[in-house]
Amino acid sequence: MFRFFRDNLRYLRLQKTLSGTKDKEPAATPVKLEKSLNQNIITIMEKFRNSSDFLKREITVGGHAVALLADEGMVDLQIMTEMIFEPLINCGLGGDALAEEVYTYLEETIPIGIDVNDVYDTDSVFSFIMSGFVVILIDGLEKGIAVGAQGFSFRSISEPSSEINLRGSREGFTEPIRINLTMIRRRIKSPQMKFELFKLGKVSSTDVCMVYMNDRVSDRLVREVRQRLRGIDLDIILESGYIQPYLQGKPWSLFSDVGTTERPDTLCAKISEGRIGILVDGTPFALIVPYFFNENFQSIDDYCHKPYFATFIRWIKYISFFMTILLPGVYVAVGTFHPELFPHALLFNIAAAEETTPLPLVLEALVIHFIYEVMHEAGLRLPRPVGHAVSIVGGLVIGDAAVTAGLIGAPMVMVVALTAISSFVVPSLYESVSILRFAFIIIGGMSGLYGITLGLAFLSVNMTKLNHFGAPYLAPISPFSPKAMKDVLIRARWGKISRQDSRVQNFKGTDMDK
Amino acid sequence: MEKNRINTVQLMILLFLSRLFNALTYIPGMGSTVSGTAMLFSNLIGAGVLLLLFLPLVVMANRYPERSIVMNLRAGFHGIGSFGSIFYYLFLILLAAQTLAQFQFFMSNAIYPDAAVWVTILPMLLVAVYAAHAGIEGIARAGFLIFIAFCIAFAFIILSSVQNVEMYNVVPLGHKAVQEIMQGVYAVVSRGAELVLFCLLLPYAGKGTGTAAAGFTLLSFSVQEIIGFFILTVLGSFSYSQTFPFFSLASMSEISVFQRMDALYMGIWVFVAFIRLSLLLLLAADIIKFILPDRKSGEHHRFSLAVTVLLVLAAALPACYNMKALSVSYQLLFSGVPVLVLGVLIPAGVLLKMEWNKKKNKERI
Repeated sequence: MFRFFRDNLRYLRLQKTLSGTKDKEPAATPVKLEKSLNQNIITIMEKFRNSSDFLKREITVGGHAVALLADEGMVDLQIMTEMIFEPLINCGLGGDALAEEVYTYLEETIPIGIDVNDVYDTDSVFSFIMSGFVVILIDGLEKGIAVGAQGFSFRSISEPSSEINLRGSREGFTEPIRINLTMIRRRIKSPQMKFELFKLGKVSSTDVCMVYMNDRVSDRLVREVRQRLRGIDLDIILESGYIQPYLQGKPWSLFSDVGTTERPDTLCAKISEGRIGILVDGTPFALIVPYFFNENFQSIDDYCHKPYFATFIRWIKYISFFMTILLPGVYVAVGTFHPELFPHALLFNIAAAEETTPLPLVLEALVIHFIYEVMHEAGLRLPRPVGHAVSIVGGLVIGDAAVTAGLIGAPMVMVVALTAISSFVVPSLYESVSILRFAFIIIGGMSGLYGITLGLAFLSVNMTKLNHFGAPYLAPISPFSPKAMKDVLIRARWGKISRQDSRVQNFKGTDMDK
Repeated sequence: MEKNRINTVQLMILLFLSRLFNALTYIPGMGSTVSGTAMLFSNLIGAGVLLLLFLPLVVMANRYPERSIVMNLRAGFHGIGSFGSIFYYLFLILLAAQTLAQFQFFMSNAIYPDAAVWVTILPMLLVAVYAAHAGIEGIARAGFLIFIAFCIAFAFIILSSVQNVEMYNVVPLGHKAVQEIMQGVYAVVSRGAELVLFCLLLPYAGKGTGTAAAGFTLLSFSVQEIIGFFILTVLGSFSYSQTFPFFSLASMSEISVFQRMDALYMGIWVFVAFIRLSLLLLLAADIIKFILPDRKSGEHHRFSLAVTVLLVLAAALPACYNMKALSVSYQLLFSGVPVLVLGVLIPAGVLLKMEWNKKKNKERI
């Protein structure tokens, strides 16, 4: 018998581990609306205590007290007045009408919006008010009506600041999730496009939407992402970055297998390849899973240019990526341990420049890169005009004064400048690249090219280890899928790309159902 | 693809990179009387022999898919089989130690003459452990990237050496040509530790093991021949006095941007040593589950990789500090006996025994 209990306990524990979520506390039972309007208002007012934006207006319709409840900032007051308030006051119901008749009049006669819902408990009342609804409660009825009258102000649709393209749409996501969903729906008018809405965040109740194409996405991927979203145990979600770690495979990896985009066209392209997009209310940044390394080097522009030019640009991006992480480290390694590798003329120039500087090459590189990162951060956070000034002052100080003062060699300034410019070619990898650059400088300064090579070996394993949602991060490069390479190192012409099935589950090495 | 699986190309590349470790330290004379010209023929015949030796292994892989030699050994011989797996474990430990020591020997002789032993071997061992911990998929995928890097670097070195080729260095075969060639063939086969690795990698590989074996042989033969040809024609008799002739070749070749190419050679060397070492560590740690299985799960012990690493380090250190020990370990591992016994005779014997058992069972039914 004990074995029975033990086995069952073990099974339960296993289930818990597999689901990856802790047992949650049972949710409090919602308070039902009562017949007495006064009682209902007292209960609701209790919830809105000290909330100055809460609106309450009581009127009499057909001899019954009717209360209109809303949140001032969330509703359009004009809609509220013209479409709800006026018709209520001017209704033709006599003073002896039944409460049920007032309700039917409200539901059928008033020219209110399409978004009308019945409410039966105070929690729903609260939730609807917070979502921009006007809730109408009638004395003598145990239910109310929630009418959509959203009218909060928000930032208009504008060009995304982090993904600027030469061609393609100028629209970027904005903060309200509904508008973002519309932008996607407008681009892919397919019944297979699905929007699954979740309310996440115990306190914030943030709308989070999972977007995918039913006929293209792997069922297993949908199940896993859905399970992970449901497992998020946060109080407040203000940005998609809050839920990103819950979707990432290896939190300690240098690279992220969850992508972000501000562009609806990019997200639509990814969704059509069998990926899942995740939109969070209140942020223009959507998440994409699964996300591959090579996608950091692709942009919408690639598909608008001629294939040869797109391929050329892509190679520039790959070279820039390697240059930005390796150039300072290799320069330090070669200069410190293997100077014989430089051609003689170059070696003499470098030696002459470095002879006048007081710091060893590795320290010089670390200091100047640290200063560069400080300037970059300052330029980013400060107001734009001041940011430009910082850049100019920084450029002058590092580029000219430091060399003239003999603190830093001129070749090192050139290395830093090249590295800095290269790092902006692939902005989505900036985080990883900054850390790797410092790491390779230190490694190169300590153990030369041996350390750099070993560092690269470590990095390759670190990247290949990322295999979240059954999709290898380095696919289709490793494991190698020759057919999918038509859009990796080169960008083949549309005829060739469109002929292949570009769904992610078709890459070699993926462990997803088709 | 399921987890912990590799495809045909990945298997081929892993074996090739492991073999490359020996190919990069290729010495035409091999400390014997084999001439460079004879070695070119030896490579060709050696590749054919190697392909033949792969045959029983491929048959075993097809008849008993996804089972390593250790699994088959236990299935065929029960108690003795478990005892046999110890030999495979020891072979892997010694090979890993020898790899580490040989790597250190090159680094301290050619690149960093003043570096302490631990400065060279400890970082390498740590990164290899990290890769072994990542599993076969991680190693195989990293292996593919390294293979591409090798191809580029190799092309650079070879193309920049073309200008130094002197065909008069190709001397005709002497009167003992046949003997020399046969000696060379034996050297090629006896260094074929990949036969053993192939037997142990089978559980991770799916179909196409025969293609992988053929591809590996062809690829390694081609690279070996190219290295051999360039060493012979560029360095000539000078190569006999060089400890690392291919490194010397890389040092001599130059293009306008780089003064020398030896950094590229070092890069390849580090990458190849890393893949070989991590693969050996992974496979050795894998065998522990057959020797000392975890009582609860029957799978890996939590410390199987740590124990393996410690053993490798303990075996490598004497060879790192003592040149004679390194030489003895090389002669012991590549005398031909371990490779032929563990990579050919035992698998062939196991295959015969299992076939016999199968026949007997059928007759019983």
